[in-house]
Amino acid sequence: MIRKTILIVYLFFCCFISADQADDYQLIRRLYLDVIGRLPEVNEFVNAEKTLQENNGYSKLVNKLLETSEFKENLSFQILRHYGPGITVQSTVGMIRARQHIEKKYLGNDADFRDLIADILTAKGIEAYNPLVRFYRQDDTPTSLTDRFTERVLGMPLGCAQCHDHKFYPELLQKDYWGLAGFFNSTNIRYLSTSKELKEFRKEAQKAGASSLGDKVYFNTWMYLEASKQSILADRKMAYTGNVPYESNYSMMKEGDYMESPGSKLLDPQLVIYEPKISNNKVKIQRPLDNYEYETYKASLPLKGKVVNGRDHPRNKAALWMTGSNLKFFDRATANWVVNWLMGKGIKMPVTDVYFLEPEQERELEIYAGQLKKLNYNLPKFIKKILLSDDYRVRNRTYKNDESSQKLRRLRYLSGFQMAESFFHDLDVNTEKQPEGNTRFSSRAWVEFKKIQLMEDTFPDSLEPQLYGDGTVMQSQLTASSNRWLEYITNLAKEGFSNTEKTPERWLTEVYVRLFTRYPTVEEIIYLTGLVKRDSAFEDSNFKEVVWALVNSPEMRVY
Amino acid sequence: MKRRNFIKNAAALTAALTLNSNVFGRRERRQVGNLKHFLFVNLRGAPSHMEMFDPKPNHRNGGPTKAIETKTEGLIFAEHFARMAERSDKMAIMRMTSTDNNHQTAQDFLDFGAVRANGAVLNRPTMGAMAAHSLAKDKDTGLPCFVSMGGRQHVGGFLGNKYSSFTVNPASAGADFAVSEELKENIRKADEIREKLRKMSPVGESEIYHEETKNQKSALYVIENGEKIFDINQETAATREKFSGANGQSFLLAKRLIQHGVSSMQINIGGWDTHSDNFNRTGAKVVDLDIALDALITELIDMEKFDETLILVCGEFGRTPTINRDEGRDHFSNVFNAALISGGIRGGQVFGESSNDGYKIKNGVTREELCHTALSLVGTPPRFEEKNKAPERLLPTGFGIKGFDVN
Repeated sequence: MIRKTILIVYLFFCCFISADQADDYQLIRRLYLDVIGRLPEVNEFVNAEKTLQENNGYSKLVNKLLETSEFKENLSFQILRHYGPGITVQSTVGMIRARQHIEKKYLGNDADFRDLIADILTAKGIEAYNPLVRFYRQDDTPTSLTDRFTERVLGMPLGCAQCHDHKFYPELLQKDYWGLAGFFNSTNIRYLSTSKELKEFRKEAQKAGASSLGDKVYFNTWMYLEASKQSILADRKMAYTGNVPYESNYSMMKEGDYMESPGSKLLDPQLVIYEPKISNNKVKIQRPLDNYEYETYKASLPLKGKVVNGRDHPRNKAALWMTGSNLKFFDRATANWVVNWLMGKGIKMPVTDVYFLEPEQERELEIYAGQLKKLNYNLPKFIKKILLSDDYRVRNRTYKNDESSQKLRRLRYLSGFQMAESFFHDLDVNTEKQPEGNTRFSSRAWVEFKKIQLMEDTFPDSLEPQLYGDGTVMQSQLTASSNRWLEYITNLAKEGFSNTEKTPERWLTEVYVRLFTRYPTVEEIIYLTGLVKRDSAFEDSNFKEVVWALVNSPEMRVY
Repeated sequence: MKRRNFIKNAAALTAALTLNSNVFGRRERRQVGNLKHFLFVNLRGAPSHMEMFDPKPNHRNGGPTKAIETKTEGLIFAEHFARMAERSDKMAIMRMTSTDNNHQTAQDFLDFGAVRANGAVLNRPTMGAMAAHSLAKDKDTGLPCFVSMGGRQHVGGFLGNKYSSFTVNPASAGADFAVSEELKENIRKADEIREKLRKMSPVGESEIYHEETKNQKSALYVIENGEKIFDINQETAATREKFSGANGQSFLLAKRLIQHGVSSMQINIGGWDTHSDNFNRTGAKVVDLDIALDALITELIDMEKFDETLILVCGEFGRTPTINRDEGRDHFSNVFNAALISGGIRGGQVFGESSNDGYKIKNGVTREELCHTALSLVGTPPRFEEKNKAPERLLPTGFGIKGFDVN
């Protein structure tokens, strides 16, 4: 009784959460999940809280997070997810290559984001040497590329104009669509997975007169696939076999890759893009339905009807046009998807269409796009600017005087990946010894593969973790009763039960911080300390039930 | 024209238009009043329609596949569909056409109810989710309203997480949901603690918190009853025998779920991409599908649920009439087939006609028309409108299949 009274008094003076503090805690939670994709550890939370109390504390905290390698990893994934073909599995060899390449080359302090987009749009060669080839898919066609890149890069829904002039945006004409498709017409994408395909590719590349690129590509392919076989094998073994769980070739199969298989299969299948030597003066693209061959003598760019007739690589022209300063769409579309990622909702939804905007949306998006331009298209700086803005810090906002606008709902569900990352990453990845002597994929690939395995263990049947987690009945059911989560709950409960160095109050406070990124309220701590009993057997101590209730609280899964 | 005649004619015209609104194409948007369940059998990989609903026995493109008569006059099926041929009076067959030969985009387009691809980016709901929303928004069975089998999760998009699919593996579903009595007891005890903590939470009043609370309630129901509901071994041996074949378990589970009131289901069956050895591979798969569909229809009729259930069988596109050198068929979207099966629709309807060589199509049904019709039948409104939210399109633009009739 005395203990309880002392506790109540103590908590009233020390642990009572004011409204401001509650907002701060929410901010820390959001900041960690948005910037580095996981929840803060207990010590990180305590430090972050302290930092927030200092002068310019929030700015210091943002800077600290932006300097971490986890931020760049997260950013590179967001880029891949937005501009890449479909929702991609985060950790396959091709993806890791692409992400590492982006982090190294395009996310520096002076980097211009337009360079990355231009390089993606003009990507050619073999994947092993140019990881940006990963932004293409083997079954891509001129039309699918036109659809994807206009929507993602420009936020322009030009795809509708494939069969007719756009119904809602009369400026987007069918001839514009096919004009732009002409730029991608010569893009030959090939997936080489067998020796036979490699030989056929060689013949075709030579026949098509891809003299400037084809031979080189072939040479590189051959060198990579045959001459460095041993080196690749060593790398792969390190990454997939031995004490690493990917003996089943799991993640490779998903991407259509396989690391090694008997017969004529290549050891390391590669996506290759080469451009046969053609002129873009005459463009022929066949429409599948009526077999009509759309023919235009010069590839033309939409909106201004500008006709391009150059000797240069055709896609270079399209890339220059898409990222050029004469178009406002690139800036707007880029700003919009970054806002969507950081705030849970873009200024204009869907993010793939910023062509038509309500006046208020246009004003707001123009401000963001202006900032991006002012910062010389440096994406990390732009993200920092957003994070430091009041827009990010306030919880909700609505557009005024606009009935059709949607309320920006700041509270979001943690994705399955964020949960696996937050609760299992430390337990499994960091405590296991990483293989030594790996050269090419190093420990990064190893950690990435571990993460995917964790994801699979945590949420079985999940091929798309980013989609998977968002607050479904299935996620609730798994966190409540699957073996993986029950094991986590039991371990945490046992730690609370047996660690006598920590009082139940302290242990509960730590659990609250870890799960909810806040301290418990007085009411909560009194209620819970009244429940847990260390002097009885573990089964009767209520520790497990309490942890289950906390892990399965709605608060744990939202931010 | 005299004034009286003018008024008379005008009145007659108005009456005619009102009674037969087909003049404006409105007649196609019809709903079957008592439909309560929707099952989408998604044949991933694009099945060869010439080995299913549209054989060409008198042409070299038809290959070795023989045709059999059906109960519908003038309609023939491939020999592998022997049981379905006997059921042709309970289904509508659509000769489809599209322009998309790409698995990914065509599958996405179909999956998202023919309302623009990139559904994941646009936060769109999938077709099963839309059907679930239409059929189950006012219904609470405790179970998830949309269950998918043999594939990844299908999202509820802007309709909400409630309508995202609950993915189960039919073969091991019973075991997957096996939870010990001791654990159930622990969870019951722990749930009481959670309920009390809910009231204490400083963010307990937020909208998403309430939504999550509903999810968790449903999850608890599944934990409590899942083993019983999802376990196909609970069926009698005789019933299980009817559902033999590779995909029988999925269909048997669908039958159980219909019995327990689940509104929307999706069965994903892969392996139809037969670029080589088409006739053996497709033949075997079609026979499996034939057995499973027939068994399901029989069970539904016995349970008196057939009139309440709509089954859509479709792949993303078809396969080339010309047989390639590997005895396979390649991608072809100009002609393919879909079937709608239900006691609620008029059976024996056939829409569109393919040429003898299988290359050309007359009055082909588009994917938009198919999805429009299927979703209209289960009562999906054209738009999703919610207070304080911009309206979102649910049905694809245009109209349903012209002349499609319901009972």
